[in-house]
Amino acid sequence: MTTINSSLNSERVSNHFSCLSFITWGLLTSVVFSSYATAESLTEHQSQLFINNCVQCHSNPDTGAPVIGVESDWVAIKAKGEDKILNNVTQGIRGMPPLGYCSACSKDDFRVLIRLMTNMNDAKNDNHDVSKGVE
Amino acid sequence: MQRRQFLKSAIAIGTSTTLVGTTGCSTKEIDPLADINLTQADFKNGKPLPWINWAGNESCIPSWRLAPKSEDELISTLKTAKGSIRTVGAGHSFSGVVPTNDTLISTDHLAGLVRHDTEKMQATFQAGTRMHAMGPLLQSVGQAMQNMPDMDYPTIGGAIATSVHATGTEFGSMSSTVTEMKIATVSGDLVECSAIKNPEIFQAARASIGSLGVVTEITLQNQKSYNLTEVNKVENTEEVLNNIEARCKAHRHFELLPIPYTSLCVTVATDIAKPGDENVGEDDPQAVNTLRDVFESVAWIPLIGKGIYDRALKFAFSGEADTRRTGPSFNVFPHTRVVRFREMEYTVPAELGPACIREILKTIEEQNLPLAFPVEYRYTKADDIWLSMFEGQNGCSISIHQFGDLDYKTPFAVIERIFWKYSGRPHWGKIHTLGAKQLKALYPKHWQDFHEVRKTLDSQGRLLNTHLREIFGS
Repeated sequence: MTTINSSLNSERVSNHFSCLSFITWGLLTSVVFSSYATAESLTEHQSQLFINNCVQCHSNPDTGAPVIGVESDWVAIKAKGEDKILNNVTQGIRGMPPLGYCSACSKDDFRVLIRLMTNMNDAKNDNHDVSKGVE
Repeated sequence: MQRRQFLKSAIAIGTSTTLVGTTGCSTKEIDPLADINLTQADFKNGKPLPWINWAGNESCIPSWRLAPKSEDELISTLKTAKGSIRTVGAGHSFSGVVPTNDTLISTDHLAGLVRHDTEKMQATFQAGTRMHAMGPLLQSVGQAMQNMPDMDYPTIGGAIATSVHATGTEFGSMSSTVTEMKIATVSGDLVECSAIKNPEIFQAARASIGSLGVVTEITLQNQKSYNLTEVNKVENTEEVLNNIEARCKAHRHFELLPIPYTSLCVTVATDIAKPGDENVGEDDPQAVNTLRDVFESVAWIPLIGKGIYDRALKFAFSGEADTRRTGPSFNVFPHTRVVRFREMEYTVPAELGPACIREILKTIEEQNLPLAFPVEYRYTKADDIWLSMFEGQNGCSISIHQFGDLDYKTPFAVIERIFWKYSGRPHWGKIHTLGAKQLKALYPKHWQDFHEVRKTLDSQGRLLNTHLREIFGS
């Protein structure tokens, strides 16, 4: 379904995802990883999931999604706590589809990716659920 | 006054009106995940992670969720897989093509450009490659897809399995550009097919709804990379439909999006970019939400509500400059999609398109169906793929959308009957209610051929889930 165009609206910088080449993805990933040096290390599997899924919206201000590396975009989200964020990721929230497009992600993958993107290094959650999705 | 500001004024007018009663246009809000038997408590209880599709209307809790990292690993996975096996790419289908409570195989790791042939202008991708990754990869080898849908979230494997298409009377579906495929069968064999090698499997595999095996590689016929310019205008729907043949011929790609309860439509004309073409305006992914707000604010007003809506939009759009987007083809074809909706699409014979869309728009208005979302109207060239919606006939695809938090079943049921009247074939990846008996009648030439090939490759029906059993009658 084509979105209707408007000459009005967003003042945010247009940076359509489709312009991103794999090289750009690599650079973006490097920036995120170096900026968030204390974030948990991603496995190769999780890096691939991050590139395939998360980056397509969370690097594109046009989607309205919080942008990776923009601290202010994540403040209110971090305040919800990791379990609530995981619920939102799984079921989808506003423009974000269920599972964030990632059918290959386990709960543990989601938790690592959430911590990475929110820079939630100090996340502590009383209800933390460490059970894995059945793999 | 800017368009959006004006429309917000219209909302204020509607919400401040104190007239009593409704036109029947009131919308029935539902939980966006109402179709899914899930609650947030699932996580707190440590239950397994569910799988849910993009639209939130299909789900399952697979016992085995697997993401093989290579063709060899996929084959091992298939040899030991238990129960019903389904494959998932981006999970963008609206129909129940994915759910299984047994084995769900994700193709996330089976992605990337495998090889390319500069002379033939062909490129081979792993089937799990997302379409948004394909444009830049192809550009790096001087190629581009001939046509693309208006969103690029799905995998190429999913797009081919469901015969995804774009628009353009001179262009076939995505499946029609496939020249070779490689498929891992449930027994763990790798089968290659093309117009020359295993041609019957090839004819079945280019629109198989994932019922022949797990596709691992797809080779596409591309062309030299190119730039496009897309022009969006707001026009009178009847004037466009009265001249639809000429409008389609005048452009490489042309589509229209009639806005229910108004005489207006948005037209999208896309052509090879000319020197000096520039971007004018921006995409507004939230525009449909603005339309919905205005519709819900004024359409309920007895007798005059819909008239106010029509006039509000006409005024808002009058004198509005065209919107233009220009750049590499893979940037111009797709649009950002952030508004959740459910979609039903049928393809009717091309010559019946105008009559069908007119009847749909008239019915929405006469029956006060709560459908404010623009309807989409596109053309695709005929092909010879056995279960393609475009098999043997040029097709006009008409898509009905409903917002993700509103009831879609009631209004879709009314519109679906109109599609049946025009011999419409449903999109395999979108919502419809047809079963095997009706579908067989829509594909009289090759329905049986397809199922003979399917049963040869999957004699026990391991790749069938509930939905596929319903539509195949197996």
